[in-house]
Amino acid sequence: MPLYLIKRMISMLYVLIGVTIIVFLMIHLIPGDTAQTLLGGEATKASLDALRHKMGLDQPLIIQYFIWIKQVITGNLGYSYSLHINISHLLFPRFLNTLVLTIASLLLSILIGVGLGFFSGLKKNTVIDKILSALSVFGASMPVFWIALMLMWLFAIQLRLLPVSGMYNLRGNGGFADLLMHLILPTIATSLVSIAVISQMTRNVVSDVVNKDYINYYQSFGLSHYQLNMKHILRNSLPPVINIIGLQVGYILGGALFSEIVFNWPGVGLAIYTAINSKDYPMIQAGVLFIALSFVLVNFVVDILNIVVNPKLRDSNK
Amino acid sequence: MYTNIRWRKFGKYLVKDKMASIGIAIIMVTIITAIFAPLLAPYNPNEASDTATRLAMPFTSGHILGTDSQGRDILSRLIYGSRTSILSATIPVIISGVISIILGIVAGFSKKIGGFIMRIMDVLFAFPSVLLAVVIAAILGPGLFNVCLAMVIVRIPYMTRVVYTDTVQEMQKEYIEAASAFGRTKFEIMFKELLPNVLPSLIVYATTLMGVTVVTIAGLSFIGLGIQPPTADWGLMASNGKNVLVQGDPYVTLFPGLAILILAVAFSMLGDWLRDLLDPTKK
Repeated sequence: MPLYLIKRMISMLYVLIGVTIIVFLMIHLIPGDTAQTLLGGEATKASLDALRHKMGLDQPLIIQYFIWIKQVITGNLGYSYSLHINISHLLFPRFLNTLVLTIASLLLSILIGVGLGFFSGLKKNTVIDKILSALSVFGASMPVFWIALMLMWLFAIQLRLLPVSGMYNLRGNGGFADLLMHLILPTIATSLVSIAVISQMTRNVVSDVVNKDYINYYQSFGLSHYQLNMKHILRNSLPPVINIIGLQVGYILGGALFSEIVFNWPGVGLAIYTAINSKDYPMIQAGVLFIALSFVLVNFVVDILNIVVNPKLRDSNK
Repeated sequence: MYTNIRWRKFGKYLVKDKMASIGIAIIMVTIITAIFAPLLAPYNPNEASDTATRLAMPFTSGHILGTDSQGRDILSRLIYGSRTSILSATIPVIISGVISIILGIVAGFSKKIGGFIMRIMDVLFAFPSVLLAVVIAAILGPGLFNVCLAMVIVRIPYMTRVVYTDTVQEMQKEYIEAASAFGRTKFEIMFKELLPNVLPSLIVYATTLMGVTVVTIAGLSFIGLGIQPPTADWGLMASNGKNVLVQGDPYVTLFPGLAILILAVAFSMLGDWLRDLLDPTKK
C-alpha cells in the first residue's frame, strides 16, 4: 500500500476517535439528569439509582465511553426515549433514505454546476457569463428552507405538478417512477447552493486554464474545439474542481436536513429534527454520529481521488 | 494624513465597483432600519392591528406587505426583524474571529501547540457546520444567545484554518527572522509583526461568513432552535408562513425569505470586493 494512503488512514482514524468523543460527550453536556428525565419528577431515589446502574451512568466517564463505543461498533445505538424502539432499527433505513437524497443532490450539483461553470469559464466576460455569475451569487446565499418552501408552493401547490411531501405516494404501490417524482423538489432545494458554488469555482478554474500557455500550444496544432475543451481544458481543471465538490458534500448533508424537514422526507435529518423536539437525546446522538461518520468517509475518498488525479500531491505526501 | 489618502483610495475603489456599492448600501440600510425600527414601523410588530383582517394580501390598504395569520403587519415585523438578523450575523463572526486569530497565530507560530490545536480543528471539521450548529443549539436550548454561541463555535475551525495557513506562510519571510534577530519577544512577533499581515484575509473571509451566518441562524430559527416567538425574526416569520403556504398563501414566507437572501447577498458582494481589493493580481 502506498505511504500516502497509510498516512491518510491514520489521520482518519484519530479524526474518527475525536468525532466519537465529541458525540459521546454531547449527551453528558445536556443540563439535567438523564435518569430523572426518563423517569420523571416523582421517581424515588432507589428507582433512579437502579436505572443509573442499569444504564451504566454510575461508572466513570471514560468507562462509559468504552462501553458506548463497544455498543456502537456492534451496531447497537441505544434505545429511543420517545419512540421506545431500538434506534438502529429506525436509523439504518432512514440513513438509506438520506443517502438517496444526498447522492441525487450531489449528482445534480456536479452535473449542472460543473457544466455551467465550464461554459461560463470558456465564455468569460460575455453577457451570458455575466448573467450566470450574477445568478450564482444569489444561488450561493440561498436559504435552503425558504427555497424549499417556495418550490413547494409553486410546483406542488399552485401547479400541482409534483407531490408536496414524503418519499412515496401512500396510496400508490411505490416504485421507481413514484420515488423520482417525490425526489425532484427536495433534490433541487438541497443542491441549489452547491450548484452555484461549484459553478463559480469551476468558472474561475477553467478561465485560468484557458489562458495557460500549453492550451495556446495545443491550439497551434489545429486541435478541434471539442478536443481542446474536453481533453485538455477539462482534464487540467479537474483536480481543483474535485476538491471543491468534496467540500460541497458537507453543505449538501446540512442542506438535506432542511429539505427533509420541509418535504417530510423520512431521512436522518428529519429523525434528528423530531428527536430535538421531543428531547430524545440518544436519537440525536445516533443521528449526528451517522452523518459525521459518513462525512469523514467521504472526505477520505475525496482526498484519495485528489491524489489519484493529481500526481504532484502524491509526491509531496511521501 | 497617510490614513486619509488610504481612505480616499478605498472610497475610489468602492465607487468603481457597482456591486460592492450596492452591497454596502443594503447593509447600511439594514443597520439604519434596525436602529430606528420603532420610528419606521407603521404598527406594533407583535400585536394584531385593529383594522386588519388576518392574512391580508400585499398592497391591502394600510398593509403594504399584508398581514400574517395572527393579523400582524408583515412590514413592521420585517423592520423589527432586521435587528436580530444584523446582530446575529455580525457579533458571532466577530467573536469567533477574535478567538480564531489568537488560535491561528499561536498554532502557526509554535509547531508543538499548533499540531495540537489543528488536530482539534480537524475533528470539528468532521461535522457539517449546519449540523454542528443544530446540535449545539439543541443542547444549549433555544434562544438568541445560545444560537449565537453555537455559531461562534461552528465558525472557529474555518477561521482558524485561514489564519493558520497565512501565519505559516508569513513565518517563512525575512521580516520575522529579522524581528527575532532584533530580540523581539515571541509575543511581540506574534501580535505586532504577524497580526497586521494575517488580518486582511481574515477580514475578507469574515465578511463572506456574515452572509452565510444570516442564512444559518435564520435556518435555526426556522426549525425552532433560535429566536422564540413572538419576537419578530425573519427565520421565524418564514417558519410561521409554512402552514398558510400549504393552503396557497405564499406571502407570509416570501418576504422574510427575500430579506434574508438580499442581506446575505449584500455581505457576499462586499466580501468579494474586499478580496479583489486585497488581491494584488486583480488590480
